[in-house]
Amino acid sequence: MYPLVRVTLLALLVTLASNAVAQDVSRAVELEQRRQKKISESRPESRPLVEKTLLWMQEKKIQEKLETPGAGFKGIRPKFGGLSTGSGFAFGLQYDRVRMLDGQFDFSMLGAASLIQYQLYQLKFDFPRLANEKAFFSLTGRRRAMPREDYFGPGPNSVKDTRTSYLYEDTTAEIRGGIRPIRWTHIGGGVDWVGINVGTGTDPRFPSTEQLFTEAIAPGVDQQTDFLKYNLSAAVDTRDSQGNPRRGGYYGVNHTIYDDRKLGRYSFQRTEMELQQYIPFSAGHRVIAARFGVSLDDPKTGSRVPFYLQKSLGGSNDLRGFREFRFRDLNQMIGNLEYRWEAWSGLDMAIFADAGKVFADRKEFDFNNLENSYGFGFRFNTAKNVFWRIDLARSREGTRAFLKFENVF
Amino acid sequence: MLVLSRSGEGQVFRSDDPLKIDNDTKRIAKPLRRKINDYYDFLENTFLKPGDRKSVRAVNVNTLGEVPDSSWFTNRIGTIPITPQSLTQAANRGTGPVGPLTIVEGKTQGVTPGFRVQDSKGEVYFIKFDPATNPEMATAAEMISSKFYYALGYNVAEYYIVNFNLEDLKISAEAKVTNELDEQKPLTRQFVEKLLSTIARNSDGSIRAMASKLIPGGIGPFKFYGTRADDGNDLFPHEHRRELRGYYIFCSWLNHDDSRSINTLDAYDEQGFVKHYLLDFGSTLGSGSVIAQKLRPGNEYMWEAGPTFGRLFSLGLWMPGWVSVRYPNYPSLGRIESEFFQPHKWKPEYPNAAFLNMDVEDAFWATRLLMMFTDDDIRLATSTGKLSNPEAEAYLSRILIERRNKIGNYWLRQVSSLDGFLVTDGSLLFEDLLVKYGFEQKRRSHKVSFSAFDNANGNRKDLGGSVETDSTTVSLPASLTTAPENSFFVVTLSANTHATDVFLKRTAGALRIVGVQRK
Repeated sequence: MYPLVRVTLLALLVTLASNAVAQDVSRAVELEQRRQKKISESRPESRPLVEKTLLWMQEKKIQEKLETPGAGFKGIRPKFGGLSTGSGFAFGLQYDRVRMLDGQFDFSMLGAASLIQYQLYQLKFDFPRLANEKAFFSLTGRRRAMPREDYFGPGPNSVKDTRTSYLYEDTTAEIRGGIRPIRWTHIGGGVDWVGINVGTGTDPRFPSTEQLFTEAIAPGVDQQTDFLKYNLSAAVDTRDSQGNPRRGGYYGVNHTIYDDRKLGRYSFQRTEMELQQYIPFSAGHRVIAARFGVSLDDPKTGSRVPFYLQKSLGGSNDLRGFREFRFRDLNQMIGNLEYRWEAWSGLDMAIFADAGKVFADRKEFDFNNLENSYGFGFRFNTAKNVFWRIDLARSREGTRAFLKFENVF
Repeated sequence: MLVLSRSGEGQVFRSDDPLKIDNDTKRIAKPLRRKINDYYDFLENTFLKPGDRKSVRAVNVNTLGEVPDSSWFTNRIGTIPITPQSLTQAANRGTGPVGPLTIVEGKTQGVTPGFRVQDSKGEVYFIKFDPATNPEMATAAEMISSKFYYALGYNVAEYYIVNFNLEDLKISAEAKVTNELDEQKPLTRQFVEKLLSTIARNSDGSIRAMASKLIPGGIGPFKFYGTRADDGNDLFPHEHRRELRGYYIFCSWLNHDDSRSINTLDAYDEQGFVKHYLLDFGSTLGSGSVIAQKLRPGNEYMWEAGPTFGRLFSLGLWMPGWVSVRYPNYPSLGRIESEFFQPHKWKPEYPNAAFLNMDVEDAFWATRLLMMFTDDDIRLATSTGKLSNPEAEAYLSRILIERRNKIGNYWLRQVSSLDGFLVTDGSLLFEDLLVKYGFEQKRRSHKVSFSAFDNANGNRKDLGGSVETDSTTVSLPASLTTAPENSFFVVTLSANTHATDVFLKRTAGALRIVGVQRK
């Protein structure tokens, strides 16, 4: 027999023999062998980078530190946005200490600026939970600089092309207090001192306001003043959540006296009312949300309301098809109607219609000559808050898109 | 693979088949504790489809299609008698915490407020409470569901409903609480009172709570796919374990939408192996832990493209049927019903690899166990929730009975419903579960055929003599009953599109059933 054939036959016999042995291996023994092998190869668990990062953020409580007042890194948190409309991307730092003095006292300090030099500095001493959370009191100091505020001229007939910009700066010392006799009510008041400066706007695309509008048209454009503000407010709030309401309503009135302490030319009183109603159906998966607001100014005899304090209309929170601050006058009314529906648990859709106007004479307080806009929006939300809102709105002046980090109402 | 596999290495049936115990309790080094990130778990399971999604049979079943006892599962109902005492006792090995209770740690984070307490015997428990809007709801749900899961065979903690007065609660001098600012603060009575001011109280002012006994050796949750690289005993991919695939059936029954990794626990046993537990049943039945269960859970994933775009583009004019379901007003139950419930359409919060791999055999295995709970068993387990409203308790029992029946009537039809095979006196005996449980009134006719089976290669040779019968007893031919030792045969019972192969082995002078495969 050739050696090669002998070797092949021998190999075949060995294979058959080993197969026979394998066939005798019981199920339990086979599993035992596999486990023994795995134990010998045991190694620590590995995770994908994304999961590792999220776990690190979870363990270090990064999200909580960014969002929770008093948390942060030794109390300091970054602040993104939150300056006035049109300020552009803003960044700042906030320092909070909360629930001091037996849980009664919160302290916060904030500084923020935007890429186009809007600035905000604020110091607040807050007692929001007095008398078993039935009373509140706060002291606030604030400094703001807003170098590119828009002004289009007074009244409902102002022209889009007469857009100007101005610098608005104010320094405020504010005392506020009030009571919540029952959980869903609020009665409060306050006294503020506000020092205001208005100057040349820095928006290079448009003329500065004083170049286009005189004191006669835009009161206060030449000389600014200091105010003492006295405020009284009351509200009933039955909304199921303030950040993302689906049922209930908000009904508030607010009266403010602006007392010109420096020039004596710009004193006035303002009365505001706001009504919101949320009507759920389909077990809350669809909601009709309605808002109506009115603001009426009453200048003291011989006084005028400065243009920069006149109520405005236009922008992401009221008449959405128009640019921010598009209309200004002594009086303003606005109505919003939204049909919201849940697309999924983290996203509500909305179609909306806005109507409103500004007017100089209270006799025009009617539903004639309303400006209107309409559109649709995406509301990314949690059960309690809308954290990202995209609205697209159309009006006679074109289409506008907004990306906001808060609900509209 | 334990079942009917040759793998080119050995016989189809091994000498120890069918395996009753999968000995996965070999001593190993203690694995590192691992955490699961909620967001990642949601994103991964929703968008990345983790685990092996090949359509393969469960890999940890024995040749009878059953799940052997292991560190994951212990056969109880259907294997050992479930007495009223064993059903209500479940995993509990004592009488629960013995007062006074001393808080040793507080918890303000997570879905529900709670404490870690030590009783007078030094045992440690976690205690959780009911929301003020739904007294008894979460504690009853946790209690009742734990009884069922234990009887079904899963490892669960010891759960006890306790009542105590706030003033009887002691606070350890060393007790700390980690607040939402991630600060560890001494736990004060004032803090405890404030935390407990938002929870439900009994009519006499006392507090009802759920006390779950600490499982020692916890090393974090298990995932519903893959295996742990640092646990040598963990051999079978979790997405192909029958008790995890079939867990879907039980979750659908109990509306356990929160049946995800975060509510499981691997614990390193003192004997040196990892034992796998199900935890936290607060979001079962009609409970959503801190609120009555919402309408969506159980009906739709948190994110599901089809319904989302349907609602989005229809301007919300189209809404799924679950939005319109009406529930009776039982605050202690939350929201659970049986009319709208469709067993095969039920969904957890987000996709689960093991659930998605469930095949009709997995479903049959689980449904068979579920159907073993009698109406009285269900009423008895429901009574452990100690619901003060007898109407609510009766309603819940009725709903669970109806949901059980719906599950049985659906899943037992997806594969051959024959079961309970037994060889005696030269005959093969069996029962039809559809008839047994009243889903069919009449026994169906079956074609019965006989084959010789070559255990070395899996080949079959028809022996002839096939018969058509509607009886549940089939006389076996002499060629089977007088065959030589170690001969293998297959009896195939076919009806409509389904068939069952029953594998017999002649051993010790008798025919023994060594395998069952349903098609």
